[in-house]
Amino acid sequence: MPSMKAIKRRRLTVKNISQITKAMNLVATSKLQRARANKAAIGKPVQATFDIVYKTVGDERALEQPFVKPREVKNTAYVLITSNRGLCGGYNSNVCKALAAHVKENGTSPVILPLGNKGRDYYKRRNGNLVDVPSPSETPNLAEAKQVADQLVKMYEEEQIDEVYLVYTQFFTVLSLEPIVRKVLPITPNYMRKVVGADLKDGEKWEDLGFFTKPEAKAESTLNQDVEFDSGIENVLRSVIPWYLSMYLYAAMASSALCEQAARMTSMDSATKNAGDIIEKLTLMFNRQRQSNITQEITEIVSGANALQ
Amino acid sequence: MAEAVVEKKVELRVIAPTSATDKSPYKFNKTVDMVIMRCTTGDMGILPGRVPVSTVLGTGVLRIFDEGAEKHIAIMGGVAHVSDDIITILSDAAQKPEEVNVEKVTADLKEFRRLYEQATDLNEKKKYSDESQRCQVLLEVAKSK
Repeated sequence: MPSMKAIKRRRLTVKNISQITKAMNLVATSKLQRARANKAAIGKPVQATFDIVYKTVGDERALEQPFVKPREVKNTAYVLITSNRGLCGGYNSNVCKALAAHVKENGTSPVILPLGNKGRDYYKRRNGNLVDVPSPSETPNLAEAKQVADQLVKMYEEEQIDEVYLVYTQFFTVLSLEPIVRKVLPITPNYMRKVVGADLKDGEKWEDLGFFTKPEAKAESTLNQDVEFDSGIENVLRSVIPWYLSMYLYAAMASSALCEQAARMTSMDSATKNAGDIIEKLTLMFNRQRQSNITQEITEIVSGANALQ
Repeated sequence: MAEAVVEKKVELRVIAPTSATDKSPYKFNKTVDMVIMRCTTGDMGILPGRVPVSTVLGTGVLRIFDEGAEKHIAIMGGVAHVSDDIITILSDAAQKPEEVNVEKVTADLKEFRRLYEQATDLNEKKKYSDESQRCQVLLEVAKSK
């Protein structure tokens, strides 16, 4: 059994750590509220953008255009969204594992764009084919997303990559966070119809990306109107695609930021609870040791007194 | 008995990278009477009941008409889509008149014109000419304050 001094020191250390985890839990709780508001605020612009994308790619003339027409896949780009800091349970490793599983299944050569230090470090250690992208700030913003989107468009046009997947974490509840791998390029018009959800065919279900609420069904008359492309469909598509990617990325970053705080909150909460259990155990151990020391001293005094008689 | 005439309006939504804040995700969001936007193919006016249209925007002034008043917003390229009396503009950069720092933009314009004169490379000349145009649009918008 360790000495009383050692137990006391350990108990103090655990107590100090539990104070830190408790503070981190409170900070994560307040950041979670902000991240939730941020994610809710961008729902409508994301929906508006997706609506425009669907109306553009839904046109027959778009099917032969780049970004819509699939080509032979040699290199697949994965945008991996993780956090910059740790202490958030399995949040980062889950999303990295989801990416690894998809790469194995897909069989093409992966090119990884890591948004977040944790994902970058994970693939640096495993010698992944990384592309340098700036680390995003804790609160996602559209300007940062647009930078990455422009880079992706450039790589796609130069045929360095042939398809693009987004790997992020989707928020369901605080305790239910799911790593997701979603294909964003080339765009499939049928899939976009399910995502937008205003023009569903019989038997089709709305695909919930977790970014916005289900739109109301529109009147038949508005659905059948053809869209004019004033500057030519290829120019409109070329301008719409960077926006589609940036909004998708922005929404995914906001969703991941929310998940990060939720994961940190729950892991810090359980860390604080565990620290409490350890402190309880150590206190018991300390008291037992103290008791046995006292008993031993009494025994020594009594036996010493007996020896003198 | 004469029926009441329901005045139709269009909803204008401007989204720009710098616009998303905690309060509103839009740079501008209001129902208005008419909008004139600068497209790459020329100016385009949008009134209620417009047939759906998608177009690419150039650098220019977005003119918004509502209840007899005219408002201006500087739009630095992007894309616009009109359907169901909703105009959605996705702009790379958008600035309202009150956000323009006139002194800085005037100084920038002078500098870009000087650099344009000095530049020999065609690409550089185009770059400085675009920047000068951007400054001119900002100054034009600032005047409407």
